[in-house]
Amino acid sequence: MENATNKLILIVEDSPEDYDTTLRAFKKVGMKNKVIRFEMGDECLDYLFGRGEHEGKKIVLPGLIMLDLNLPGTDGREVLKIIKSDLKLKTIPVVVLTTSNDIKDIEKCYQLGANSYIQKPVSFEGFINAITKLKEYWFEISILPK
Amino acid sequence: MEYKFSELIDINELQSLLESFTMATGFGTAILDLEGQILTATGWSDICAKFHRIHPLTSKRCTESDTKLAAQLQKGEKYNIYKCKNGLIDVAVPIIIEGIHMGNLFTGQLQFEAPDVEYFKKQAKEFGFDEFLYLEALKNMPVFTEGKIKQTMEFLLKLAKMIGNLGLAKKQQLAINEQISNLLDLKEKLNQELVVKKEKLEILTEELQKSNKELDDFAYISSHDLREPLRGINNYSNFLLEDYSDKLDDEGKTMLFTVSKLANRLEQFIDSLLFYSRLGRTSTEPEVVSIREIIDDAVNSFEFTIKERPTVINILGNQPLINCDRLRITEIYKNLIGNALKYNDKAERYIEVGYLLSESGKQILYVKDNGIGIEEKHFNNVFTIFKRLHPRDKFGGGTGAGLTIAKKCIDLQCGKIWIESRLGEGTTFYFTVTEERNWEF
Repeated sequence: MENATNKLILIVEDSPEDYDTTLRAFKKVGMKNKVIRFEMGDECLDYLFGRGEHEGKKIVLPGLIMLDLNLPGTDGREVLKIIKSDLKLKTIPVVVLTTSNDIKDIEKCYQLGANSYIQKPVSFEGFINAITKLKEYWFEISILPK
Repeated sequence: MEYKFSELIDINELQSLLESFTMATGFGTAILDLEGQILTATGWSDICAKFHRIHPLTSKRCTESDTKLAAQLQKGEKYNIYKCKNGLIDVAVPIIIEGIHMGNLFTGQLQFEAPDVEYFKKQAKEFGFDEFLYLEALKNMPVFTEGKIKQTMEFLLKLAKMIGNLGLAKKQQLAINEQISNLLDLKEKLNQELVVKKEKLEILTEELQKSNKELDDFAYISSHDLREPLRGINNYSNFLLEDYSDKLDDEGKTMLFTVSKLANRLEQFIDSLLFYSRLGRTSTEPEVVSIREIIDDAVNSFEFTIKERPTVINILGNQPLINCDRLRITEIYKNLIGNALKYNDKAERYIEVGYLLSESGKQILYVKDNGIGIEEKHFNNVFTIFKRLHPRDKFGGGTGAGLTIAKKCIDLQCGKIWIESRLGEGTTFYFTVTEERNWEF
């Protein structure tokens, strides 16, 4: 099975603490993937579509997107919708990682084409556990598109 | 709606009328519907009433004769004279109501001339009638000349026509009554529905008020309770920083600072939530408020910010007096002016606080800036509580509740708020607070 540990992970997360926590958890479970992070939905979309400050630059598309829902400005639901409506980008797995466990959010995200929906565990231990499973599932068991 | 013949004629009246007719003329009568049911009968000869109509076989002949007579009338004949199967003369006239043949008026059970006694003797024998009594009855039967019968027919024709006309009038009356009754039923039904709807609406309104209050109470109470552990977190991280700072390296200190910072941020959220929920819980009596004063107060409350970030604030003259809630209008201006000061990255910052009248004469208040502007797709988002358009620490931070609070203050006063904006050029927030009449300077 092809190992995908060298794939780029794109994280959309406005909270610096949550981002730090994610990186910490990555380190703890031995993930060595390159990570690129955006605080806002529009910044992430600019990157993926090579617009704005990324215009004309060579864009490395991520192997996995970890998306927060409640973002300043354009929120995660809108970002998800745009990614999953784009012929090229829709193949990239999107894992929604959010504090919300609202049934409407869950439903909406899967309808928009989310590949997985994970509620951010409150404890760090829970968070480590979630990241371990996420790593196993997406980077060891699953075969990702090229 | 179809009516039965018996419903369209007044049987008792006709019975009485025809009894008098029989007494005066000696002619027996009967009114039958088309099914052969006898509705009125007067002056029937004993020979019919006591013999022919009694014995099953002769009675069957009576019905057959009636039906045959009636059938001929149905073909459109004005009247029919017929010798019945039991050997008597019968005459029938149709009763027509609204063009429909509904029944027949009979007279008869009579003879044109002296009866053929032998024929009846034979008949008595055939059906086992008491011959003496049967022939007595025959003797008592009236004998009329054909001329007399013709005269009577004239009368009966007119009578049948009159019965038909009365029947028609009654039919029309019944139809009208039925319509009225239907309308009354409908009205009653609608009334009942209305009562049910009204009750439902009252229940819903009550539930809504209750749930609104519960929601406000919930936000208020939970905000209070959330604060307590939060203070603990904040205090203890500060204690750690104070008492153990020599034992912590820089990274450890940064982490503790972060704990404290996040606790503070949470407190801000709780404060905003508390404030927001309190808006619905408290209100003051509307009073005539000088908008100029309110704006001046709001601007003064930002004295420190304005000193730090010099901004030209142009309060246009001609500000109105408005009948409204003083605290709420103050809150609206504080939030709008506060935002105008905050979200501006220009070298020369400018705010205009003004007032205009719409075409329909409505007072529209506005706060205009030359700040960063808002994309149209976010016009609605800005009113969502805790929704920010920028990263947490940009533009002086904040919880993202200001415009939500302003909008609630406006909603609570039956007003409207709307945005005009161009990204990078500036934003104008327009709002109204009351529909009531007011005075101008």
